[in-house]
Amino acid sequence: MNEFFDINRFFKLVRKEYSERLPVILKIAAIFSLLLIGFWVSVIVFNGGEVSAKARVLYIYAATFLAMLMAPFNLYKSYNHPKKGIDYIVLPASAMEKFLSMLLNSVIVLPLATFLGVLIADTLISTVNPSLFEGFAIANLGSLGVVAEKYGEAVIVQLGFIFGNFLFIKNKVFKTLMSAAGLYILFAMVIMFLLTTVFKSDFEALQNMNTSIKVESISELGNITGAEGITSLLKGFYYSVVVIFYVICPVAFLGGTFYKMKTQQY
Amino acid sequence: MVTIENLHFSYSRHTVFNGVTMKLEAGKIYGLLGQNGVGKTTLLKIISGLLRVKTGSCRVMEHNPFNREPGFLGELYFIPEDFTGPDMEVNKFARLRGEFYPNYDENKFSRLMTEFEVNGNEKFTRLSFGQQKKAIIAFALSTNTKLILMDEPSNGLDIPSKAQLRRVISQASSDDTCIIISTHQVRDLENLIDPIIILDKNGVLLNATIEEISRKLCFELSPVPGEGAIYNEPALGGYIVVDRNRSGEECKVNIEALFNTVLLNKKLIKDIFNN
Repeated sequence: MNEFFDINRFFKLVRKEYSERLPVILKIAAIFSLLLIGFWVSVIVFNGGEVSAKARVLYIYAATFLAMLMAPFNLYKSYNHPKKGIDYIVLPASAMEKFLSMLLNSVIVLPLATFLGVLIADTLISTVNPSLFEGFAIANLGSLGVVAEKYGEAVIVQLGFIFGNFLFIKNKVFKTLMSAAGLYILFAMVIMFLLTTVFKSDFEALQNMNTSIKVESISELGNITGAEGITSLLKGFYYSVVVIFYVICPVAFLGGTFYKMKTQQY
Repeated sequence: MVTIENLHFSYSRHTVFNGVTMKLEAGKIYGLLGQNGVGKTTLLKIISGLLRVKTGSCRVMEHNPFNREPGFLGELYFIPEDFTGPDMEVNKFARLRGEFYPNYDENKFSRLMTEFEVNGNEKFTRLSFGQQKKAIIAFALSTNTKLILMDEPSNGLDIPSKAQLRRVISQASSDDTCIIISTHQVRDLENLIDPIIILDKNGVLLNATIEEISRKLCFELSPVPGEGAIYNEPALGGYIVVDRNRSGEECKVNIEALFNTVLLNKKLIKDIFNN
């Protein structure tokens, strides 16, 4: 028997997990769908104007993102609970199998169920009442590449929340949010320190330049050309941010979560 | 089955075990006795891999339990003291988990559920604490694992259920299985547990079979306290007197009196059983 990973045992675990957690998954998907339906009803009741497809697309993405953040706390809240967590930890499956099935439910199944639930609700409302819900959100979701990029970024944030769920035993949501805020402040302070102290002269030179650089998103920093010294500084800053957010954070969150799952004591 | 050597364990500054050594074998139903807080649950958690040994060693079926390998977990079932089932039908719970245990017997589960008079179609959340406990005990015994650990299994059970519990546990015992039952309600499990392990703060006071105990100690009901006896306890109709067995004839062991005797005469009992 493979003690690290066995595909048959993994599928058994996925089936068990899916079967046990389906009601919670459906409940969350239903809540976000009902919020959209409630909004539609309120627009009818209060004679509101039409709601554009783009605004509804924004809601669909926001709902999916929120569902992703809620997933670990709703589906795997009791994993490290001193009493309730025992049932799951003594189940004869490896830590890797439990880790992967947890990721499958949190990262894919619940967000997908929410996304589809809200999308179906929107499509139904748009069909029934096209004067208020103009156009179909499904036709305005954006290109697959953009959706995939945004989903990837959302997953990285979600991995932080998953780690928080396994790191903290009590007041998980509050502590995770506080930790995220703390990390953000720390990161901002490091950046400010670099700008105001380490690279002070470079940025003073940047301020005194006649050229203005308009940066609308952090990814545009990587595309800056010209003004050699300054662009290399900005590019260095950009690549550091990219490495921290896209590589170090997910690896640390995933590694930390797996380590906590493997070594949690009860 | 279980080999514990020089085990030290503490929760931050509170020492629980200080050099515990013991061997537990298959084919027996061990009774793990001790006052509250001496580490009965901690020992069960260490054996089942829920806690990590800091110093010393604990080997269970040649595994380090804390590695929690599936092959090891498939041969062990731990029933915690205050089990609370999920919001799910008992039968569904058993079916989904049973797949992970190589020797799980669904028919046995149904039979035990009938014997315990618990409706498997009910959700755990609709059952009383005692019924939930009976359901999880029925499932644990149906997994047919080699090692079953039960933490205070009789807590929350009514009187008929305690008799049912004794019966099903004794039926589940075989030459290949080892059952360890932690309890401080010794009367509930009298005539079932053998050998007896009595834990004290920092160690094992007694680890002996009923036969060994009855060979070395004598338990009698006497109208007057026994002069020079190791232990006298007032009881209905006189005194329970515990003394050395000098006649060589086996006598019935009163586990509650044994427990009190051991707690009040630690050194003497160790001397008697070590010789």
